[in-house]
Amino acid sequence: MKLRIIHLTEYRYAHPVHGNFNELRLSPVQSRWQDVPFFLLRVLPSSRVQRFVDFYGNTVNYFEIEEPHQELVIETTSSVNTLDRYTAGEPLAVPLSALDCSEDQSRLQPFLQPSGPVEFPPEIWRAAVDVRHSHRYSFELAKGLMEFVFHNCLYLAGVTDVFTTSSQFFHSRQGVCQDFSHLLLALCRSVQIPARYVSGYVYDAMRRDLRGAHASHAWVEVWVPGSGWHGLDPTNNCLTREHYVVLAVGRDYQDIAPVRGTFWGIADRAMRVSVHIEERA
Amino acid sequence: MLLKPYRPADLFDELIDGNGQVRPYYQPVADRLFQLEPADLAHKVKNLELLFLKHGVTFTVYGDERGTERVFPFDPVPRLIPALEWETVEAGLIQRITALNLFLYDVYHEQKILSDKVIPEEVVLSAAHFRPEFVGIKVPRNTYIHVCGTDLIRDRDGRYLVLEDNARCPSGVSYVLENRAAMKRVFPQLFGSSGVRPVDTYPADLLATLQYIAPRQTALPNCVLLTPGVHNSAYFEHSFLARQMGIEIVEGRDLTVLDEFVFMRTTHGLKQVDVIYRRIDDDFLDPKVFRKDSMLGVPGLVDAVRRGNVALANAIGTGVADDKVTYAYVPDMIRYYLGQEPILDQVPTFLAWREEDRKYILEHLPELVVKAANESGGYGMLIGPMATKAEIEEFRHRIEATPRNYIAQPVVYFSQHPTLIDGALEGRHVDLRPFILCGETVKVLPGGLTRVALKRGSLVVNSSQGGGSKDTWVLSQ
Repeated sequence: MKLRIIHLTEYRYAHPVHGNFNELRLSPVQSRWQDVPFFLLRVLPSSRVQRFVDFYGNTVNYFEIEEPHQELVIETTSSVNTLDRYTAGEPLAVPLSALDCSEDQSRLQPFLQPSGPVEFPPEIWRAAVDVRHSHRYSFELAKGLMEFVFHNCLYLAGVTDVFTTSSQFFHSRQGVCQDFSHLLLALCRSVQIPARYVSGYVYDAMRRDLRGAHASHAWVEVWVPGSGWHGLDPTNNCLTREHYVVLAVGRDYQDIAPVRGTFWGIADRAMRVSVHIEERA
Repeated sequence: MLLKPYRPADLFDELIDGNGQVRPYYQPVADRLFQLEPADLAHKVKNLELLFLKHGVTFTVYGDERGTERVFPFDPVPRLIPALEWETVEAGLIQRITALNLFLYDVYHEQKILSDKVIPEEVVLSAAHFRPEFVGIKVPRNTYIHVCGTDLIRDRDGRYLVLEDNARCPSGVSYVLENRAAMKRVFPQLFGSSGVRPVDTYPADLLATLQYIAPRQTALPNCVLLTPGVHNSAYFEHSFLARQMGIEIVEGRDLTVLDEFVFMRTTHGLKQVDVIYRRIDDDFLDPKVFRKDSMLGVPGLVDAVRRGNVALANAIGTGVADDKVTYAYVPDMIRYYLGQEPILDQVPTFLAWREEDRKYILEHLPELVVKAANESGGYGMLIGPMATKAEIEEFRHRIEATPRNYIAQPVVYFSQHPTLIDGALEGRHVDLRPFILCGETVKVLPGGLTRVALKRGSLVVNSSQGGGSKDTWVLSQ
């Protein structure tokens, strides 16, 4: 699928701020499933934009605006060609036991531990074990956990924030894609399925009301021994096929916030985000 | 039939590949066009000429005793650009114009790129078109260049290179539209199955670009086109674009400034103007601020711009970005503001104001192309290998006298394209000027103006120096 994405983030500060330092994880990942022929980042006020690759392989752009300003514009334009990760089918034949003897164990440790908002107290572990009861295969179990999240939680914007933990969400059961993803991560990790957080976009060609379409979205990837990372979207209860675009991966939201920064000044500000996705010819 | 005697040169040939074969994407057009009977073809060419004459597609040559307005010469053999190739060019142009706009914002605000010593301060501050009086002035949407014409050439390997940016008042787009309209009328059969991307949305896109910067965000902001008048070389284009966009074409004397707002004199009294698509250089815009002797401008206009009561496209002071010395630093700009490598390469450039470069230039004048930093239209240029001894000596003196004003580049032999000369196909050098609009998003008109040097062996494609043009087809597949 050939997509073009324009992602605009605008901040307006009530009073001039300075020393505005920001790290951006907004450039689509280049991978086997995703080719990025074009990416452009525009920052206003104009500044020197620099770049590094972080621990998880994400490209990070960063900049600092020293002089006082009241407006900050961060705009990215990307062309992305995606392939369906699941054309060869789902990795259904891998038994749960393969996870224990997998030689990737040590490399995958970060994705098996609690991290930041991904907590798994006994009640979450209990819920995961209850689901595990009916499954023998790892990917099937992961999908079972995704269904559990989807069916037991309500999508509701404005009741959680970026600091909401998986245990808080497990009790309130109301939140957004980020909370759905953190809970699925907690459930997967508590039964030893390596799982990581993914931020990106989902293109809803049919306007069929996919949640998170035409905004920043988040979902989860689980590790299947011998077959790699596979995406699951707990907010929409589906596999992430070619209409998903990956921006960054990490342990949880804290690792890969699309825009993260600090500035000097009074924190009174308004933010406007818009994501426009269209199919290219 | 026509094709048999055609001989590709020892350069990149747009029609024939390295193995002497017609490039596959050109084959369908070649099959139809080159099979025409010579009489048929001659007849069609006559029709084309008549069409251009009737439509008044002309330009004016300055410094010609005959003072003539001439029909713009047109060659009926279209230039084709395959889809994938265009995708790269388009990406490169979008990247470049974005960096240039960020650069302009920077030099008219904090000048960080200068304090970080990525571009030497003196390059910018000494540029003839840098406008210190606009430092710190906010322009609508923080965009300076709304319309850009960037000249590209292709080297021996077919690589597209940026030759220069025209970030002030680029002209030529009307010929793109007229060329296409004429080709469609005279050679409808060529378009058949070739999937040519249309160009006729340009006027609507340009209007949207202008409306986007209107200070009053009303449903229908009043946009006008400001022309220096009927004697300007591009007057045909001015009237053409105004007509296509359905906006008024005005001269300086049609506008007046009251209380720092701009009004247009109409038969129903004064009407406020929101956006001026100006086709006048900065120097002539406002006799109160710039050239006192300008009769073309509007006194007080610059105050209205400073106040934000009227928007100009392009903004004042964009000339510092298309200065030929600044050009040498555009790749550094792209790295600085965008954190990535340039997609399009450009021609290596020696700057006469750098001592070691100047030494090299003066020693190698017969091999280099020397250009004045602030001239356009092919004026003030020396092509070393084709120049006489006297011309070279003259430039030597000029460079020594004002080194800041000159740059030099190795001669790049442009690609050549079969062109109909007296009924036969001959190779002629071509360049390409795509047009870029920076509104809410950046849009590149598919293709652009292919200019062709009609004199055999000539590398100068400017219409003022005996160049013609071709229709340019970007293929959709």
